[in-house]
Parts: sequence; structure tokens; C-alpha cells
Amino acid sequence: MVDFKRATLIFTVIGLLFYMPSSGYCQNNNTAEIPLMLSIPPVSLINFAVDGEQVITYSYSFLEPNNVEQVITPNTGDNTWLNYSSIVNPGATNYITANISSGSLPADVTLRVVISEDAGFGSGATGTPIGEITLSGYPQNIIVNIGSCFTGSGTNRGHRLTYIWDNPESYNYSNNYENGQAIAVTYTITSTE
Amino acid sequence: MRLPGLRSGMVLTALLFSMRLWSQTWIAGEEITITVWSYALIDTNHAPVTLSLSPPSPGAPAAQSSNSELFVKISSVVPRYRSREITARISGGSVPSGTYLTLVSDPATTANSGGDLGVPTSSPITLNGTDKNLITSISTCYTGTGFNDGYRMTFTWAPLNPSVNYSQIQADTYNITVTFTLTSIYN
Repeated sequence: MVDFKRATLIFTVIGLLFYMPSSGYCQNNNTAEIPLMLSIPPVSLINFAVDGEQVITYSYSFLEPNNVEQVITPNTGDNTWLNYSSIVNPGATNYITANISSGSLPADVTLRVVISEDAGFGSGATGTPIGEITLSGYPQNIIVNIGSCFTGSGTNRGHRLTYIWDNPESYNYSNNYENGQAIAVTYTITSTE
Repeated sequence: MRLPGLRSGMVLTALLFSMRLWSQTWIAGEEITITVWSYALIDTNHAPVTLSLSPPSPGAPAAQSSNSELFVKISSVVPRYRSREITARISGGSVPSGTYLTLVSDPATTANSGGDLGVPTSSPITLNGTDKNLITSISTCYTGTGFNDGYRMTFTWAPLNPSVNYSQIQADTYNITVTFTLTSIYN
């Protein structure tokens, strides 16, 4: 008796299973979810663009993309542009400093640099130029409040740099250059964090 | 008697089978019956999808980033003259400000597939919270079950209209969920 009852139950269950509309339970599987991770790392990249007519050397390294060094002479003039790309963490900004990183100036020679507004060929929160500073060995802010932005790459993009020498005749560039004592200025982009 | 219990169970089972068979003979005219037989199964190869935005050089904007690791696999049976779509939407989280995320599918791989596998949309769709068609005209088919079987999906992430929005981009990690749906067929 018991076996027959069990058999009855099994047959009934099997029957019900087959009868169950297949669309009814398969529809539960007709979506698939996937996780997606999007990351935006903070970035600060800086470089020069220079007019080829000037006697200027500059360096950019992928290993140290947040600073560049430019060797300058009294003839460097105003044909240097500072290009940068920046992406900031919430609440942070980047800023750019400048300092004389190589060579020394005679006592009666001062070297100033004027930083212009961004030329407007990029986009985003480009920085605010300080205007003019007298360069020294100590890094001084020249552009501040840089948010997420890019200036574009090349001459006439980014901020134009104009070097002004006082008493340049006291500075013998070629002699210093041959002695490895040429004046070099390093520009560094740094986060406020 | 010892048999009635068994007999009645078998009769019930036979009846249920016959209802199914009965209804099957009505397929030509009864859509209700047709839905019983159609099915739609979808899954992915569960490949992790990660994308990163970064400028390639000083002065340049963040370059777009693409990922084509994910494959979507399906099995589908449809009623005659009917078809399904695969749609996609963002079901969790949101795309970071100042950026947009697109998705486009390759045609289904041919190695282990069969049937009418449908046609991917010709241009990428921009993902948001609303389902958008990714592949249409899917009829009865299967894609195969291997890791690289099915529809290869290409996600592309890029700054959105950077000349206006670029300052909105903020460094961070953003986790979002994308839901693929193989659409049901309702009558």
C-alpha cells in the first residue's frame, strides 16, 4: 500500500513538473548582471613646448612626468609654453612651482619670469597664473588652483612663459654652458593633497 | 483493491501530459500555448570588466578606454514570426560626471553556435538606466557555452564633450552594474 501511495505521489509530481509552463520558470534567467569597475587615477603631467628658433633645451621624462627642466639663456625670450594635463581627487587641486635647479647667477643679475593666462586651447579648470616672480633656488608657486583640465600640447597652447633678465650682460652664458653651469629652471606640478 | 491509488495517479499524469499534447496541437492558432514552449536563457563569461581614464601625454585630455573581454551567451526558442532583443542598461551606480560609457556587440561567434542569432546595432549605445536594444531579430538559436562563445561586448569609456564638461571629472574608482536582458515575448 505504502509503495503504491508513494508511486502515486511520484507520478503526480512528475506530471506536475512536466505540466509547469516552461516559460514560467525560465524567464527568471533572462537577465545577466555584470560588475564594471571604472577608475580615474589622479594625474599631473607637465611639459614644455618651445619655438625651435630659440637656443633652448628642455626635458620630459615618462618616469617623472610631474617635473621638467629647461636650460635658459638671456636669449630665451618668450617662446616657451607650459603644457599640462591634470585630473584631481575631489577637494584637491594641483599647482605648479618654478625654481632655479642648476647654475648660479652673478650677484647683479636677476631673472624674472612672467606667466600668462592659459591660451584657451584646452578645457576644464586650468590654473590661475601668479603673474610674475623672481626666480630663485626655492620653488615658488607660479600657477595655482589647477583642477581637472588639459591645455593642449604644443606652442601657443597652455601658459606662455616670458623670461626677463636684469643686467644680462653680466652673465656669460656660453662660458657657463661649457662649464656645465648653465642656468636651468625646473617646473613641478604637485597636488595639494 | 490496491490499484486505484496508483491508477488515479497515472490517470492524472496522463491527463496532464495529454493537456500538454492537446495544447500543442493548437499551436497554430493559440498564442497562449506557444509561450509555454519558448524560452530565453542568458549568461556571460563573467570576465572582469575594468576601464581606466588617463591622459597619454602632458597637455592632452584623458584618452578613451575600451574593453572587449566580456561575452554574452544565450539560448532562445521563439514562437514562429516572433523575435527577441538583447537590451542593456545600468542597474547599479552611475557613470562618473563628465564621462560617458558606450556598448556595442559583435555578431555572435560562429564556432559553436546555431540558429538565428540576430543583428547587433550598427553603432554603440550610450548606457544609462533605461534598457536600450543591443542586438535585435534574435529567433531560435544558441551561442555555445565556451568562454569566448557568444556576443563579444565592447565597452568604451570617454570624456563627454570635454570642451564643456572636463572640469567635472574627478579622480576616483566607480563601481557600476550593467544588466543584460534577453527580452521576453508577451502576447
